[in-house]
Amino acid sequence: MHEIESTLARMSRRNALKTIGGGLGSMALGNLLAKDTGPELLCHHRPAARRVIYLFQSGGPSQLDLFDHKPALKKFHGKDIFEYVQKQGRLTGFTDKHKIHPVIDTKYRFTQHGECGSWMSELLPHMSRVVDDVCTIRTVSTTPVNHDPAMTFMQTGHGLPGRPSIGSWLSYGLGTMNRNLPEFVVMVSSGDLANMQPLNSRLWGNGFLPGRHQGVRFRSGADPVLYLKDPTGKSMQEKRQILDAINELNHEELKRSHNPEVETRISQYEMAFRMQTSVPDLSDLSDEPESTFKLYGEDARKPGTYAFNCLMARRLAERDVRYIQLYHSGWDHHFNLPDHLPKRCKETDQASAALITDLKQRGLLDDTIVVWGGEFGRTAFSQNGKVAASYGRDHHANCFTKIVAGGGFKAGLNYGETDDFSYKAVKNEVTVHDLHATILHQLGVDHERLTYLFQGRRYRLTDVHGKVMRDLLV
Amino acid sequence: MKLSPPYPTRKAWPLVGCLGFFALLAWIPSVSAAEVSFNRDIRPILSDRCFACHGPDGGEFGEKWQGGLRLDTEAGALADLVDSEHAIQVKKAATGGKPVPPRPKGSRFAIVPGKPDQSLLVDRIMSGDGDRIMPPPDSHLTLTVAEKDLLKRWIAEGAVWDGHWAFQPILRPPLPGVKDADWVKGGIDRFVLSRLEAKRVAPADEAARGTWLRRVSQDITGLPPTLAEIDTYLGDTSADADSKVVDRLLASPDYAERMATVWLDNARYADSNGFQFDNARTMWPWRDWVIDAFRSNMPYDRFVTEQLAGDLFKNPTQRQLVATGFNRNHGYSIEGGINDEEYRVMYANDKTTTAGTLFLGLTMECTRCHDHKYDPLTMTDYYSLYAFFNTSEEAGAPGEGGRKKKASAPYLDYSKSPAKPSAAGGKAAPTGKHKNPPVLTMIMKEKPRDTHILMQGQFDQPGKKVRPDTPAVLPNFGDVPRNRLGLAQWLTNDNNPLFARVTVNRLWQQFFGIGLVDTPDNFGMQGSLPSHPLLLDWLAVEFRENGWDYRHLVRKIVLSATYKQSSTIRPALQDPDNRLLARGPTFRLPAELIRDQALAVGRLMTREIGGPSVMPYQPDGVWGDLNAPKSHAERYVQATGPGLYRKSMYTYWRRAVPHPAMSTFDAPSRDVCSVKRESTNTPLQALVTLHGPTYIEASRRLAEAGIGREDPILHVFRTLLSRPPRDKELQVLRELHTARLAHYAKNPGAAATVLQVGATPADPKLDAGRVAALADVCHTILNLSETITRK
Repeated sequence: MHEIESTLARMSRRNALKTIGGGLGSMALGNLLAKDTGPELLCHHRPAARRVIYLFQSGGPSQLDLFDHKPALKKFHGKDIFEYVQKQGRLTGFTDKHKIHPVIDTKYRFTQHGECGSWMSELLPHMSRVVDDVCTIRTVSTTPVNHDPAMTFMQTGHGLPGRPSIGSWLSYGLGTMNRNLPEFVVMVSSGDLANMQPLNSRLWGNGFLPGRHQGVRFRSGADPVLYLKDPTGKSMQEKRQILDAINELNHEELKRSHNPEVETRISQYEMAFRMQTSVPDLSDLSDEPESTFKLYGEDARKPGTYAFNCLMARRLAERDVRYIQLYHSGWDHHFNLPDHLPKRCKETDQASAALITDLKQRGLLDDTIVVWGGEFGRTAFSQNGKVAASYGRDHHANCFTKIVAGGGFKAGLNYGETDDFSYKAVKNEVTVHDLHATILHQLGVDHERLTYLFQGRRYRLTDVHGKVMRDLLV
Repeated sequence: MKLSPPYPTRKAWPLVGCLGFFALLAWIPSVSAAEVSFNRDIRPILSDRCFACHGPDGGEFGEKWQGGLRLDTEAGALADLVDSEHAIQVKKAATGGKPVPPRPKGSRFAIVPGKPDQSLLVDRIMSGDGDRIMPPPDSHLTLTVAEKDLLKRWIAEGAVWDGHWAFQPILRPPLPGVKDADWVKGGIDRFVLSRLEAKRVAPADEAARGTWLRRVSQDITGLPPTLAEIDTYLGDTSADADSKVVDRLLASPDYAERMATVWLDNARYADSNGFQFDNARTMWPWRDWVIDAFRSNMPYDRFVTEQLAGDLFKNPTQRQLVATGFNRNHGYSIEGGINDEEYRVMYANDKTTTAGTLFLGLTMECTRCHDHKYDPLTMTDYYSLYAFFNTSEEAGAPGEGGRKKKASAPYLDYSKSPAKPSAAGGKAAPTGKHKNPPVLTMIMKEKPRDTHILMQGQFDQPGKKVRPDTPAVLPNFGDVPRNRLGLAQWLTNDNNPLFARVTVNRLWQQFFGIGLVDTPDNFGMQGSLPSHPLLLDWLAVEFRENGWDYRHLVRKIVLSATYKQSSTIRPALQDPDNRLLARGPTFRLPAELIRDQALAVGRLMTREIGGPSVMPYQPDGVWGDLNAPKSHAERYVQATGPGLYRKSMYTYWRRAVPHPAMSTFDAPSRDVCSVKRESTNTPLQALVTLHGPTYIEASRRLAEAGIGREDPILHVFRTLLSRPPRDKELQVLRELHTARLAHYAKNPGAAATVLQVGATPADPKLDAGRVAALADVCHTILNLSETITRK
């Protein structure tokens, strides 16, 4: 059934339930619906976008060396700004006891690009070429100043463990658009990159939502989904033979027990069977022309690289997977930033831009939201109080840059202004909750109405905050 | 307390009267004529739809009460709103040192008992005006026609108020009379049957004897019955055959392990720290203490007291100190750059909210930053309870050896423990010599510290000082020491209305898949009402008066006629969640039991109790998924030999990268206290049991045992499902078997591939093709819905 039709069918079923009145039967049926038979929603309004690709740059990329051009850094290079920064909110335990906080200029050249005139650092030549296709928000703010809570906050709307991730909320709210793949897929760049921050599975966890809404980790290599490969080496034909027997016996059980769970299990075994073809098809790149690898770079041939995962993201988007989450680690540059930042950029720049271009060429960018960014930004002052060529920067929560493309976000928009040190927003701050509310809005979901009753409270991704940032939208 | 009904002044009459008239026109008699009950019908509506703005959280002066109205107390609901609003103004003015404003003239009443047409509440909920309608549109909450009607009828019937059910003292209810006394086997059945008879519903037939045996074995021990156990029971026609089975099961160590496994979720037990690099910790000595407590049938009040406050006993034993690890089970962070005090506060919060959920069924967490929106709990209540836990000696940030020693102080060296539980698995207890490497396990140690309310829950914004105390709405703390030991005494006191109810409800949930209160984590206003309130109280009293004896209560439950009913769904009753208990319970087995069953039928399980957690088969690279740099990475070193086949409760529990087979089958991450597991149904689950090496190896092992039997298929079927196959089932399996035999005869290499899965060697005396074909049959049965369902 088409998504909208099934939504309508569900709505009429739910309305029917409501009008039955407060009897036990309807209460119980209501519970059943909420529990596991399918998604709760209902689009609240006509969606502009159908899917999300979130390119998470874990560790906190430096906005000062990549996106937020601040000539004042040169002027104040080496000057202590402690008096200024201590009024602007929390510092981390790394630097809150330092006596001096000297400004450190960026080593990298910034130039303007595209018709929109977006300032970009020389470290991102490919992203610089797509500035007219993306919306650059330089005033995103968050609350936590340490990695674990800040990542958790960015992905679940709350700094402590226990809440569902964005992808889980969408899986719960909107359900699936395809028969052969999970609706929420997670991929992580592999390899021991320097300065890595760990990725706790709660970042794509279901929190208090039912377990079926958790993100499914796709891994690099021959066995992308855990337990997808059969160690007994049976052919699909043999598997079909065994599955037919399982199905037949399960149908017998269904007849006897009248238990709807048995029926669900029959269909889940069928999907498990289909996944054994659909997932290998997905990661088999032999059908990609040479031009693909020219666009994404040669790295895209190597499973586990960021470029490979970007290409996979496009293939997943083509197959209507709702929420595709990528992580690339190693952006935590407290020290020796000039040694590490260029490497991270080199690993990600071309493929990030390629993904946007590729989606656009295929007509998929219109209804796919692509987000690029980390859990926070970095400080204008030097981490260790020294002014050296091998500088580093501490965590910074007040303002940092996110790039959002497609899905009805305004292309070529430069949004938000920060002060001379990119230390706080002076115009158009966008909180994490605002960003979540806006992404949900584009997917047809009112963030105030996508709720789940847990421990007596209607929880939301946006807690009690968040507003849809209409300025960002077409 | 019942207040005399206030009446509106003449001035207010015209408006109220006029709107009341329209409201009357809209009145549709859609609910039955039965009397409205405040607790059953009204408070849930008020709480869910009104309390967010008109509930317990009034802010500093009551300024959050819109229009001066609070609906969570009788006095507030019946008050003259002009008075209420004025009182708020007066309070505000007094605090600000400003002149007190005069009371405006007139009166307004939200509720006038007996007079719905004079009650503003009715006027506002019936309003067609978007600016007047309650709840307001921006709340996204609405009232149904039936709910509006109930509220109106309640007011018409006199707006009678009542206390919240869960806060009332627990009294032993009289056993209700029933017509069909023959059906009744014990107290439980009287409560269930009286409700069924009132609804004119007959109980379901008894489950087949084999089904009951399988059910009770899985519930009590987490394992299916063996063929010998089945034959013994089916051959036993004596009147006490059931009770003999239950006694046998309760006496087994498997019972203790099963009960402990549930407690591990409750107490958020794990083998790792949970944050950032998620490093290893050593809390298994605490886990073994739990198993041992269930083995010795430690009374539940003692069980809780030792865990909460064993360190505060006079001359505590080592084991009592280990028990206090309960309070230290939460995650802790060793991330660089974190604020010590922020995290220390966070840990005290976790201890507080865990106690709130587990022992009181209250959502204390809501009161960390503001007064509760639904329940009569304040921030003072929260920080007073928090004060009991705020005196732990531990630090927030990585303290002494936090990373290196895999324990955060205070801890004790368990390897030196003279009182290591002897039950902990076959191995000799350490001799007391210091040859063993240290086993540092976290415990509690008291360190006096003042507690302040933390404004907005912020660690660096202390407000007024509070002393350790329990929520004001519950019975007084009494004359016991104001520390965790006193807290335990207060909890387990007979006058505590929540402790026993919350506990027996969780136990019921374990055996019926759903609690009598289906929100086991919330007995507050937003929680569900009990399906059988008197039964809940009866169980609570039965538990308390029999020395908090778990085994006694389990016996009562599993030997009831209610539990013995067939679990076949009765679609005509429209009761999918079985709230009427008009059938036996059925649910998918919990994650641990699915694997343990395979280990048991495959003759693979290592029966050893306790000790360090083990690392069974796990797909390569799962821990690598955490993406920790090499310098911080923990390694998953897959066991060889017995460690591959221990019960799943001993599988190493790493919070950030849980064992995939566990999380896929809905095991929680154990980041926080969890008292209920969801049960979902996904394709990934199918992949685990289809391709997981444990299931393939168990199938092969079972096949090897079946080969020599007279009818191998019959043998493996009964072993797996505890019943003989029906004709149709046998036919399907025989056809499959024949086809698989033919396949392996043609492809001997394929058979060898099946046989090599798993660490146990294949039996070389048996024909590989025959084993592989029968293994495929076993594997098919192992993947049936019925096999992983507790029927």
